[in-house]
Amino acid sequence: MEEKTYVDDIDRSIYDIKDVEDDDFRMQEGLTEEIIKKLSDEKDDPEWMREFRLNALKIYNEKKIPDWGPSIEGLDMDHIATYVRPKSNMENTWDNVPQDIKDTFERLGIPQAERKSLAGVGAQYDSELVYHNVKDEVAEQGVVYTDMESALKGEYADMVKEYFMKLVPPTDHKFAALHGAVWSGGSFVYVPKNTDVSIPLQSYFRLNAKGAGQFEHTLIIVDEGANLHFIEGCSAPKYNVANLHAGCVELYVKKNAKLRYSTIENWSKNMYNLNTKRALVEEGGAVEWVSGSFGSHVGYLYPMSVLKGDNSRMEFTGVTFAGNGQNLDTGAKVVHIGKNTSSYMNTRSISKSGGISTFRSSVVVQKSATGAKSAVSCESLMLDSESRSDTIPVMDIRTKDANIGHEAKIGSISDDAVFYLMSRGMSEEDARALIVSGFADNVSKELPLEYAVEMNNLIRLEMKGSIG
Amino acid sequence: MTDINIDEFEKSDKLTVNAMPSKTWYWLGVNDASLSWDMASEKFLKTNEITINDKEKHEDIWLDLSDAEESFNKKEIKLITKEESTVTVIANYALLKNVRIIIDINAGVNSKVKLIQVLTAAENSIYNEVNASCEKNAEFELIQVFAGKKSDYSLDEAGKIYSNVKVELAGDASDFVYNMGYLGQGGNVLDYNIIVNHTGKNTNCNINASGALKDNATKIFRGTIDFKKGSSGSVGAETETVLMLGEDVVNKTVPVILCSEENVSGTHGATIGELDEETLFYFESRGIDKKNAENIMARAAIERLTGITENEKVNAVIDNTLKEVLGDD
Repeated sequence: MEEKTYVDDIDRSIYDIKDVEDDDFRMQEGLTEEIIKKLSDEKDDPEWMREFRLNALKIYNEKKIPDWGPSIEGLDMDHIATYVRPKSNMENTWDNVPQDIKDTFERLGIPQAERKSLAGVGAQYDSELVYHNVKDEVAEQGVVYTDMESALKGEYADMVKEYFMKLVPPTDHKFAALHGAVWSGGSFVYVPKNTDVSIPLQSYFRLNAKGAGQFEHTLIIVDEGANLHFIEGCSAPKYNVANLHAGCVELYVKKNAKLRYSTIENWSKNMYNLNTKRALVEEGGAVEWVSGSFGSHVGYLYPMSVLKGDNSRMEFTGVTFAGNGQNLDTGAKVVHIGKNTSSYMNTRSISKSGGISTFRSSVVVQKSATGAKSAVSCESLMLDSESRSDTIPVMDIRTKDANIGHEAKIGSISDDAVFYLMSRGMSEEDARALIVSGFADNVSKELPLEYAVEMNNLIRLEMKGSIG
Repeated sequence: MTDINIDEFEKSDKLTVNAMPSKTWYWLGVNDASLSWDMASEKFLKTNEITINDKEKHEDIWLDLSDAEESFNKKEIKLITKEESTVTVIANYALLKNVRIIIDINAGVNSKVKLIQVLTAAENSIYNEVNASCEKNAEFELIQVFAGKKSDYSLDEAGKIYSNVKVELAGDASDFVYNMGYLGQGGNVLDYNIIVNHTGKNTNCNINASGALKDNATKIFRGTIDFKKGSSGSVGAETETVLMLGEDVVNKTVPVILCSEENVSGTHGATIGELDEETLFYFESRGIDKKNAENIMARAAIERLTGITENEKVNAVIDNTLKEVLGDD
């Protein structure tokens, strides 16, 4: 009898190491007005932010839980601690970071990556940043890369107030409202006009606390003609209780600017990842999303781009790997408003061992978006019949002057492709191995080499015999 | 059997129809459709029950709604085709008043069923529901023409066609082929929903829809191919081509594939846009201006079905329908 090709689950060994919980402060579990006020006190919020949080809580309580996606009935906000402060101030040198926390980030390769190939790093541990640094030469260009709390209260306070949760308002959906009420940590980035940040900035989020939530806020403004690549990574050890991630990313890409936003998401399998990301792109601007989703128990993740300016564009490249115990609902959304805008989505997904992967997208072309072009391509690979793979794309087109295409494929490995490679001298095993390993390279080839290697290490393949 | 929400039906004068098996974001307005319906005045027309016995070959059973009245009507048709039988059923519903049509089909082992429907609407609403279950090796072919005529009245009274087709490929090696052509004009609403459940092994479906939208017509297409666990060896494909010709048209396309089985192949594709430059150039080089080129292509979206029906009488109906809705254009 033929053996089936075996595809390992994601190798989580380094991510599952738990630090002893030795917090400086842990908020009581639950979500009440008193908790929000206490959180605001702990963070010494300006008055407007305090009011903002309380209003967001009100909206959260009024909004319904979505019923169109994976069930989140295992998430009980009464048993989530929304704020956990580690025993560490924010440092700008790794030597000053407490040893256990530093060891965690060392294992994850963050300091090494910073030394080798990054312009700046923000490292968040539970609810606060423990490290933030930007290279001198980048700071001298006028690039601002700081933690959100400092930006909120310091010289950029007016800018933060102008932009904070305007692109993703608390009314957007229930977990945007939750974020508005309990957000903590995250980064603020401003790139001045015509500035090319040639080396990436990175933020890394590590949630160590059991039964806690992480709600970082990332706000990036790339001014006219500027260029930035921002990378975010995340992980957490696995517990037998639920953890929650409801972060928010707001990206403003000004006229003729370009922003590439790369994410490798590797939360643990007890995590509910309900993240919201949105970009507003002005005339001639471009946003490129590169997204690898490998972790979480349940994930809702659909980076959205609003192509407001004429000639603006969006590209989304993503790969999702849903293994045992995972239900990952991922995709992208785009709204074309300006003239001659373009969008391109290229996604791959792999489901195995009972994992559920759903590709969900929307392409909306408004009447004003004459000359719009959009192409969506999604491929799904099912590796066994215990798993599930769904594609649910929607196109809503309101101008005749648009050129829209969509294609999708679901199936197992193509026998024709295997035959082709074998006709070129490859063994069947090698042919199938090549096809499966190449399936995810739409994302890995868009990442800097170190991250591509990390991503490929997340999917370790062991091939025996043939698939199917 | 019907997919109408009965509780809602009895409480209000709106029907919720064309529900997708897998919902998505509500703000897109595609999870289902809602149409006005006066339940209290609905008249039940005579039910047609048709049984084709074992090995019988029956051509051209014509159905119509000649007994429909001016207000709201309901028509039920039950078709059973027994083992190795063959039948073609043709339904021509032209410019009628409000009518709700429910067709239930049971296609027996090795039987072949072809259903051709020509639906036109001017100032009325049509809700058409087809529920088919296919046993082993059964073949079900459905050809639909949706033709909307410009209304002389307000937008609210423009013709609306809603269609919900649900096919169960329960028997191994059963097969469903769907071809559809549509033309929406004025304020027409064309809202259709296809659900194909692959349950048996080695089942096959092919969904092919194309059409044109003029003026301020609205069209929503939801096509769901669902590979249930156990449907190994099955293949499903859906394609839609939409020609957008009006300044205020609205097109929504939702091609869904759901899959719980490893050894299957599912594909979908959609192309939406106006006439491309090359095609326009071709027409202009032959003395045909843009407006006439668009009319020719709009007609072609439905005329292509005349090459598939294999039935001269049906083709004549389609030609007459196009003349009726397009006039001398």
